Amino acid sequence: MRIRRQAVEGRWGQHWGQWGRQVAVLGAAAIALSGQATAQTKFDRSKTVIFANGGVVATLDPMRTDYAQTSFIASTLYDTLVTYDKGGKLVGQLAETFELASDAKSINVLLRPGVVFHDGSPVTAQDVAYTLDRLKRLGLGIASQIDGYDKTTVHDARKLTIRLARPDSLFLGALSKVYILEAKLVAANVGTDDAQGWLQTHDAGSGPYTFAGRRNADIVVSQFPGYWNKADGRPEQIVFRRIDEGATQRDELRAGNVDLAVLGMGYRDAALLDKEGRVKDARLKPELQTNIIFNTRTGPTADPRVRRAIRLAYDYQGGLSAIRQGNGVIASGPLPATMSCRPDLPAAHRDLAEARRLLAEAGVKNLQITMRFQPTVEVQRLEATLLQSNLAEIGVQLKLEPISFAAYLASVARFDSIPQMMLLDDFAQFPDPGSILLRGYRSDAVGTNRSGYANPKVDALLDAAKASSNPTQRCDLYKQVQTILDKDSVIMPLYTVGRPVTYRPQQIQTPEVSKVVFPLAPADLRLAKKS
Amino acid sequence: MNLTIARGAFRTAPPLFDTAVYAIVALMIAMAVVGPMLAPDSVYVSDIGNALMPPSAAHWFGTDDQGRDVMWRVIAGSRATLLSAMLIVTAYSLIGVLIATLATVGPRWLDETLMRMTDIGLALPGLVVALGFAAALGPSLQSAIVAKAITGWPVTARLLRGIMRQTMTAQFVVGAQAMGVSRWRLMTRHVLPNSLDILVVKWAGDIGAAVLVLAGMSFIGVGAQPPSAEWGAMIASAKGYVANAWWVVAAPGAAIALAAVGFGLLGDILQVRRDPSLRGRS
Amino acid sequence: MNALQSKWLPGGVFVARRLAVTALTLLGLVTLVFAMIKAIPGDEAQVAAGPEASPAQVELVRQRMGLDAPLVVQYGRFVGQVLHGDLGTSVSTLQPVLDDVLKVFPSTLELVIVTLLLSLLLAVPAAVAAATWRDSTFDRACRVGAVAAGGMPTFWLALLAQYVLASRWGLLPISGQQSLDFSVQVRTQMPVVDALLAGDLAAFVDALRHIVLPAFSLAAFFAAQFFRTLRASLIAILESDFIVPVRAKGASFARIMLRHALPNAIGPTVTLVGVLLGMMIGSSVLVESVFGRQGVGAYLSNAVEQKDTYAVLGAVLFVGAVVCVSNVLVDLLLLAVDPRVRAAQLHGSKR
Repeated sequence: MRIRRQAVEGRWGQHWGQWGRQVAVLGAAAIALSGQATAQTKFDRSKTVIFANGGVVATLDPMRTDYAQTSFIASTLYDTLVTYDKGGKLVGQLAETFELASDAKSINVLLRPGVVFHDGSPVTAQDVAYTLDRLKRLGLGIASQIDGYDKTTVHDARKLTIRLARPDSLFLGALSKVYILEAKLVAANVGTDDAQGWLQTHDAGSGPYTFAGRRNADIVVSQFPGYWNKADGRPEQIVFRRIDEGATQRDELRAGNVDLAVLGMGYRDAALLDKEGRVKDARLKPELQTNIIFNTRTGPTADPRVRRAIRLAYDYQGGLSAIRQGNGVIASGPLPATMSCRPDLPAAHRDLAEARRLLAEAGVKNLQITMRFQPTVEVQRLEATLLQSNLAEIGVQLKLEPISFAAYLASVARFDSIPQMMLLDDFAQFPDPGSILLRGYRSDAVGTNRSGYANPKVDALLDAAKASSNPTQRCDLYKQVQTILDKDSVIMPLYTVGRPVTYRPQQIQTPEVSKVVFPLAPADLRLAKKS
Repeated sequence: MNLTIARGAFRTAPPLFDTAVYAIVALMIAMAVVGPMLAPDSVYVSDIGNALMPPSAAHWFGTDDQGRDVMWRVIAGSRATLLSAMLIVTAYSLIGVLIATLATVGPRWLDETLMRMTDIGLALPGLVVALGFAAALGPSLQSAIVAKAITGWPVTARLLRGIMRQTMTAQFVVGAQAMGVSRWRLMTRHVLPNSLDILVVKWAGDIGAAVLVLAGMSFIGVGAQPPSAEWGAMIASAKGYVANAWWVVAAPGAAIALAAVGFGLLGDILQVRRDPSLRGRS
Repeated sequence: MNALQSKWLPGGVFVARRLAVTALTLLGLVTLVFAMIKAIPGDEAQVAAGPEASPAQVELVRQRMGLDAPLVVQYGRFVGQVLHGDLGTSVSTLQPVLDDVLKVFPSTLELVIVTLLLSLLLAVPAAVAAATWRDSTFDRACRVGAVAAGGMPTFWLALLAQYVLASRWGLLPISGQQSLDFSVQVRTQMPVVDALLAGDLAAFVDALRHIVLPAFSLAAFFAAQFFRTLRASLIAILESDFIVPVRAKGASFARIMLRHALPNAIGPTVTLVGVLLGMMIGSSVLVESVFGRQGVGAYLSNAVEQKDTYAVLGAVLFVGAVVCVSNVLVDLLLLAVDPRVRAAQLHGSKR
């Protein structure tokens, strides 16, 4: 017995040395690498708002605010030059005054005085120039919205002129998504990737909140006392908790561990919670529309009669009430009902007889079409299945194919690989109809023109609008474009949907929709008044 | 052989559930064979106005989120589910047998190489392979089957190789070898038949596990697509209704549990029959 | 060489061989996953550039990320990087993959370790009792229980447990890894360990409370497997010849079980732990998703969805390395515990 134990120990001792060292190195590495900023601030639950958010927040770099998760958080840390108010009108944020030149080739901006970044440095025209130049250099994310940018001329600390390469009346609206970075701070941390890596975990902004660190999968931001736009009732801290499952979000909301559930909360769960009473649904109406994009170039959907037939087959009323819980209106045109400059078009409706007639006229029998959708979005799966059943009634066999985000982007990058039909929830980056129409329907907008639509008449109208600095004229041109798109059935809009936003009224006041941050701006939240 | 005096619940109980297990498995197989023929066409037609209705006389297990009868969908989907499970297990069992045979009979370097491949297979997260296949071939029941068949063989291969090697060193085999019988003949005449017994046992038990795996795959989004009534897809899409529409989850969940338990216990019973000395050894 | 060295040499050779084999396995793993991720449709450069980018912008990104080089070159470059400890840069977060993985992996590790302990805690005593009183009602009940526990989809069990125990009865937290009331310094990204290191007992208990339901949901399946294997080996040992002289000596039940039966029977179960460890890590994503925990599973599935090649490769490599290393540990454990294995492994076996 004794001899055996000794032999065992001898071998163990040898092994301990070898891999013990490996473990120690790994452990030290883990500890060193995870010594990030932590939430050490005092935690006052009554003055904190906790979000339940689905999806991963890849980065805090405001260049990537084309992704909803990043936009959500970055909007609390940064300011923009201009923004859209509740009524959809463009107002100044960092800019005190702003003006588009009559030739639509430049914008004069006067910055607001007395605004500082989180480290106390004043916001100057140089910071604006740096931000825009960086976007142009890198060409990623939100940079695609300002592709007409040329350079910025800095006159003094508060005055600057943004020069555009060609006339672009949409540029001002796009500035509502350009978050201004602190040039000095970012330049000091530029690294080898133009500070993209640094900005993933740091903030260089002037917004109402500062980044206070990550805790597990949670992100914490705390109030910036030196913010220029003083307001009462701002939460002192906002915590963004990552919860992917809708059921978990719902339960945490009920239990009071979470104050708001937005991205990831399902329609049915929201309706149920609202009925119970403790939690309310704000039923916000952002610029959100559920669309099915057709391939108008190749395949069976290239025939407008087929497209019109499919449009007439769907049970819009049933889908809206059962799947979206009545939260929305049936679509009437390619743009959401909440937008301006919309013509008067009839609402989508169901007419199976007419649909069958159109198919017969087009000479198609036993049609087989493939539709793609994102399986991670619950309502899309339900709507796709409903459409599948509806189309069977007019003799069309719809095959459903889930698609990953990456694969979808790749497929629309070239006109010859566009899916036959694609279901998605479309939301506008900012509420300018021109931007959506141009990017979506101009024949050379490869990558964003997801239906491959090519109509010279529409192109001409859009170009004229872009070059015009007269808002009324632009509006009229947009209306003409939408009428043509509807007649051609380029897309199949289902409904303009509301977005359920469930919150605890004991903790926060009713949230309001934001035209720029989907679907609400966390920085706009106010604590409930204690009575 | 008991070591102490046993009392009460610890006393030897009479074996009684063999018949029950056979009955369950038979029921499942019968459902898979005739079910889809009996089920009405309406199991694939959406009646969205009737979504999420609780159990009633018209719908014994209520309706799902598209208004379809849950009970009939379970019956209709039995074939897809069980057939897929059997395909998966059969495929990877065959691959496993092949690999194990080659490893045992072949030269040492072949054994080493195959075992390294098995290590790789074991270290590979099944999730990634399933997602990868789904992304490459498009998410569907077929890609799920292929993915699982390709990742399931390492465990079988390892198990069988161990048993084969053990058998090869058994007395009677060594004796035969001494008499000049070739390794290959040994394999086909003695080792393989012996190992196949165990394979059948594992096969039966694994079918239940495969049904579960399909459910897990549907949960992460790869697997059968609408309007398929495959049980895994049904239960994955019903995950949000555990609290407010329990019936949508109950029926497919019960079916999956019954299949997993039934086939699992069948594996037990087959093992006992194969070697009565193992009675009660599980 | 002297007698002492000759005693240690077989062991040393064994470990060295195993490590070399592990390295080879990892290389094979990398190659396989690289091939698979490149076969997936989708364009990494497109994802990096964003949904609104123009083709020209995408091309720029492609060149900058070295995605325009031929595949063989990309592969070679990657292997070279790994040998330097660099797992590449993630397309979506633009951070080194190693950093990203080290941020999420400890959480999974924490869950897996607790799950392992829990499943062994459930399985071992039950197996001992079931083997001792074989064919009793208790034994039958345990066996049916084991089959049933192995018969529920893990995520379903998780949802059910969460709804009943956490939401309705409020016994345990619904989701997350630590309540917001506790602010413990993040050192290892494992809330339980960090609380211990900080000496904060309340936070430690809180973190444990958050891990109970996820670990339990994940453990059910594996506990069932361990129970069945251990019970089978215990019965084989208890009925074998070599127990007879021990019992003839008049040894007590406890002594028989702990000194003779368990150490010899534990072999197959320990091997099973090694085999199922990869599966445990893979299944953790189902539970992490339901309980809102961060982990490598969610990281991996997001990376595959985004076609974030380096993130997928890095995470798979990391997990693969962990599984391989634990397999080596398992083999070593077996070596130490089971004398028959030791004899076969170290002193060679006749083919």
